[in-house]
Amino acid sequence: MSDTRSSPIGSLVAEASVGIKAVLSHPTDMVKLGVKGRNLVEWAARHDIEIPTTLYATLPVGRDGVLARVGDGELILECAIGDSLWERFNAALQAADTSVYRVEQESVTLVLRGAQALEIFAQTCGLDLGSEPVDRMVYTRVAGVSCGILPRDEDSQRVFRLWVEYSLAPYLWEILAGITAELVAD
Amino acid sequence: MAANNEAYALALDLLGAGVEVVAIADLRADREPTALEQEVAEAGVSIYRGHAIYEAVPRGDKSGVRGAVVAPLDRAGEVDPRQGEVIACDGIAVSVGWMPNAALPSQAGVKFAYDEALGQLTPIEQPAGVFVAGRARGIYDPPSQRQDGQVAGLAAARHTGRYEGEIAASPRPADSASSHPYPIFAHAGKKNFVDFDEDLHLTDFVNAHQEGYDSIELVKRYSTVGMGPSQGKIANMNAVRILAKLNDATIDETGSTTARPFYQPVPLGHLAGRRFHPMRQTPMHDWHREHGAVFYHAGDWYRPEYYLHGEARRDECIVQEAQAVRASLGVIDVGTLGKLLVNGPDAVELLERLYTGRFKKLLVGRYRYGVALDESGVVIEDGVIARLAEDRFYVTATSSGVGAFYREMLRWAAIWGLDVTLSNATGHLAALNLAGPRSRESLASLTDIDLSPEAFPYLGVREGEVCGVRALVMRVGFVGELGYEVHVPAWQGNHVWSTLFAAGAPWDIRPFGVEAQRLLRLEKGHLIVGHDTDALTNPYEADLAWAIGRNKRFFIGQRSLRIYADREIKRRLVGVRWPEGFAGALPEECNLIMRDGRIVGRITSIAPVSTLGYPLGMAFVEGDMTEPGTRLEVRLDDGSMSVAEVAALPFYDPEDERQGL
Repeated sequence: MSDTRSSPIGSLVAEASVGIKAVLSHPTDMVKLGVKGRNLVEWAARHDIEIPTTLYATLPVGRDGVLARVGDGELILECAIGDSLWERFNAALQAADTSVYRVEQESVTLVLRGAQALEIFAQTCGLDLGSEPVDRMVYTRVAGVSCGILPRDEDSQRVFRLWVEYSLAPYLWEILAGITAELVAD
Repeated sequence: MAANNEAYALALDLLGAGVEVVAIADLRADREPTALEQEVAEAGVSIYRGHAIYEAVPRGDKSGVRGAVVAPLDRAGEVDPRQGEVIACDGIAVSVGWMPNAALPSQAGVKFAYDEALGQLTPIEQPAGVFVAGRARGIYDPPSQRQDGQVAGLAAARHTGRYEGEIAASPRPADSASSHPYPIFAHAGKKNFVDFDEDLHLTDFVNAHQEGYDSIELVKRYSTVGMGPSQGKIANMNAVRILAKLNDATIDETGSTTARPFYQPVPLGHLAGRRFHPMRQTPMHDWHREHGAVFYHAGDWYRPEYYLHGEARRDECIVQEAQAVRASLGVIDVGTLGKLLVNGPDAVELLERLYTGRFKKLLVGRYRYGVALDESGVVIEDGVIARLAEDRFYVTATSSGVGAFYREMLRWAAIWGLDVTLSNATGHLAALNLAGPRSRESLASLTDIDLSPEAFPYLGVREGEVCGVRALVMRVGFVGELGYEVHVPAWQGNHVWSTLFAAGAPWDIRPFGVEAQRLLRLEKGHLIVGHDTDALTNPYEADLAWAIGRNKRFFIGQRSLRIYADREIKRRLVGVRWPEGFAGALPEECNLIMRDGRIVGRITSIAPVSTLGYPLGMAFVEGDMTEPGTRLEVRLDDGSMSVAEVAALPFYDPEDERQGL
């Protein structure tokens, strides 16, 4: 599967300087899956899948993956290719069960980290993401486009994982990389 | 530039933050300085009383300000630029008045009048249960504002029966105005902004007044003052002041514009932040660029208009691409197409109510064309509705309309309480249309789906794999040829496109852009909603009556269609053509069709060159002009006439024989 996948910003990331990539990065070794349905909780219980119990809460999956509750009846799974949870979700979706459906989820992940991350958000987003709790999804607009953002603590550092729609990823990368370049140069 | 205490408070804040404040030009003269003014003066800031800033002096490269021309005001409040003095600075701040929030109380029924002493509107009449406090009442100092808020809050509590105690008297408004009565100064020949949202200058208002727009409601509509993101918070009061002066009337005689919902704060980003213009790319964008695509903006998408081919001109490239589709094989990126997932036990019920057609009996593995109307019976959206399972549908919508249509879907599903699961997959899926008589052969070896005509007929939909990738495939005919629309996950779109393109080499596959697609669909007589229809078009006018399900219990717009059905159809969409080999001047889209000096229609689509050897198009014409062969006179931009005739649709393959290949 991985050799058939193309990032929409692969060439842009390749051209970015080391300084930019220290702040803004783009992991490509993860895949996403969406599920949605009114009876999500019952469906998950029936298939013995643990899900976050409250809206916007998340559960860790593997090393960098996450299972996020993005609606009362909606989940997004981001995990490494071949993760066992991925297989279990797909198997559950194949079951003769009409209450929950697969939702196409092909968003692109960008990661902002370090001291400049909040400065970049200050220039692009109306929310003070520094005051948002970690490990809870935030849905907002960054540089004019809708994003899901997951604040995390990694190695004593605040890290923000952004999910943006595939078609908007080149635009968002260019905006964020441009601001990052200004900050790094400063 | 100052006309109130807040300007001096700001100056002190700036000084405290390490900013050098050079000078303050205060519009007010002959008054005792306040404690704040004295503090600012003691900090070394020059204060020019009775002065205004006449002009901001730009830097050489126009990247900012390098100075301000400060000049005294005469007794009539006019600037005397001859006595102006340039003060070097790299920024100018202005605090000459406030526009307290009167919009929300106005919408709640509060009546306001202009208070000359305060220089602002204040409430004179409040309906029961509405209480106004703070600056909207002319209360500016914070202790009084707190007291005023408390009084209003207690009054509201008493109104709802939750408080029965005493309420103190409301504080009195300030003694002096915080807003200057006329902080507008004409400048000879320079930009003189009144409305920063709409780039309106003082002269725009003077011109509007000279044109006869002497009421504030007319000036608003003529000039668009107050229609920008700030909703008039910055400009409206000054517009009223200007018009009052021009009419030699008072502010109350001039009136103010009507405040309408929704009232929103002004995002700081609109005033000083970065400007963002998001643009979308399909997964195959880089491939298109590397293969000579000439892009254009289709809404917020980049789409290939056509592909450069050797030395060929634009129109030659477009016709060559179309000819390749007609003769052999072409492929177009249709990833911008709206793609919606409609699932759940009530999915078919939702679709039956949203679209004019019937879907209850649509077989799994088949799709149908669908037309959606608004309540007035106007065509707002079209696409195909494919049934993947009893409770699973895949719905396409127009590229530009899908966002709004999806929101309507969500809204109606909630209102009707239907058990459906909706998802907008537009940006998550890539899509391409492999079209032409060779499309089946070229696709067959790359998919596990049986493409034989018996197993996969026209209007069929299948799920399977294409190029090793999970795919949804529809057998389509939008461009009038055998064709397969392939929808795959966005991350794998480029792989599928590249693999299919390479596999099409034996048939001289050619990528084609939006212009060739428009030509091909025009030859086939397929309309584009929003292009060949307008904000008033009903299905009868657009020759879409066949898509209306008979004896349906309900669909949006049905009641309006019943009214239309009993009325004479005043205009119809028809084919228009010119003679074979016609080389004369041709109209543009939207050029008018005339008869005896009267407008009787307009061109909606035009193809100056076609694969059929003659120019053709579509047009709306009056109901008695629809007969094929009817002579049409189309007025060109230069006023001359181009003679065409009505033609039967479709121009190409009227018997759909190409779908039988």
